[in-house]
Amino acid sequence: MNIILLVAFNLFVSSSVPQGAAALDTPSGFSVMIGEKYKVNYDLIASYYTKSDYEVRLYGISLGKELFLGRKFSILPEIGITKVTRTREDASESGFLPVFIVRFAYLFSTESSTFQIGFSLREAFNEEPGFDFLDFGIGFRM
Amino acid sequence: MKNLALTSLILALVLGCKNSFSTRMTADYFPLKRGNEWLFDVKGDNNYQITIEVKDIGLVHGDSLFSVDVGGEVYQFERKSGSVKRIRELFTTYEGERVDFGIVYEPYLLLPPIEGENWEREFNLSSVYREELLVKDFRISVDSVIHTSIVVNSENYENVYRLKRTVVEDNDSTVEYEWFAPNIGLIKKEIPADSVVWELLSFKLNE
Repeated sequence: MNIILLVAFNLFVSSSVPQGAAALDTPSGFSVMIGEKYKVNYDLIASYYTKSDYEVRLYGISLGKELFLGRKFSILPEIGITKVTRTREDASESGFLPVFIVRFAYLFSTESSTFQIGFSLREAFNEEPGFDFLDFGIGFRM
Repeated sequence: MKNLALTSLILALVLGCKNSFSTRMTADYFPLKRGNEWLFDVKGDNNYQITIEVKDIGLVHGDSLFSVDVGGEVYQFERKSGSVKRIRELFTTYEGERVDFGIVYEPYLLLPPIEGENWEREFNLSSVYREELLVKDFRISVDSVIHTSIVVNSENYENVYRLKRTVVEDNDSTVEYEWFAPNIGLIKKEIPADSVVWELLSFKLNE
């Protein structure tokens, strides 16, 4: 089993959700690759953003396949589903959003593990384009 | 190759599906752009048509101010991130003369709407007229916000939010029910006390 841990520092980009200003976003929690036979990555997604009294929380899971470009670069396209809860005062609504994520990473190999830096782009599908996330992250492959 | 085909298929399915929840999250339920027009059929004791048009836009302290012509009467709205406020001049007529109490910013809509939310605001104002103190009490409350679908003039609208707006001015109160559709705005209004119903006939929105 190959486990990839990724700590992500977030830069939040949202063009069509005017309520989102402050944000905490960790779309690339960790990936678990089960065996070499199934080279499929699973990611946990957790995001939170707020402005004034309006809050949005996203939790979800995605899966994809990591593709290597040489030994240093990797691209990981994923699709997933997130549960979204939005709240203002005591009122809240929940629903599900499908998401598409592309993660890019540059790998620095060491003897015991691989240090990586990268970023991911996330698009939550809807009728209005622009509900997007851009995350930068660093992490280790163990 | 098999994995790629499967991924493409799933992606195509995901891309192709309409998502009601994301529409409610991202749509504009009160689109205010210069030139936007909504034509309503008003039914009551008298039947007539009324046009709402966004006439002018200004900017004060970074917030957009909109002048909206509602059947010849000009309403002013302030649009902020996450809310719309209606700017009202409060006045009364006393001994045949107009007495002003100033301007209030009435919380008109919270955006995007959420089912079950409610809000209210009360203004207690006073003014001196010929050495006499006059008072004005104004209260706005909005509740019963529900997510629904509705047919208006044979047109089916989904992801609609309906709200109940109560305006109390001194001893008079008015109750209105309003329906807002995503990326369209107001599509229906009912004033039960007057048995008046506004229904959207057509609209023109500028991109």
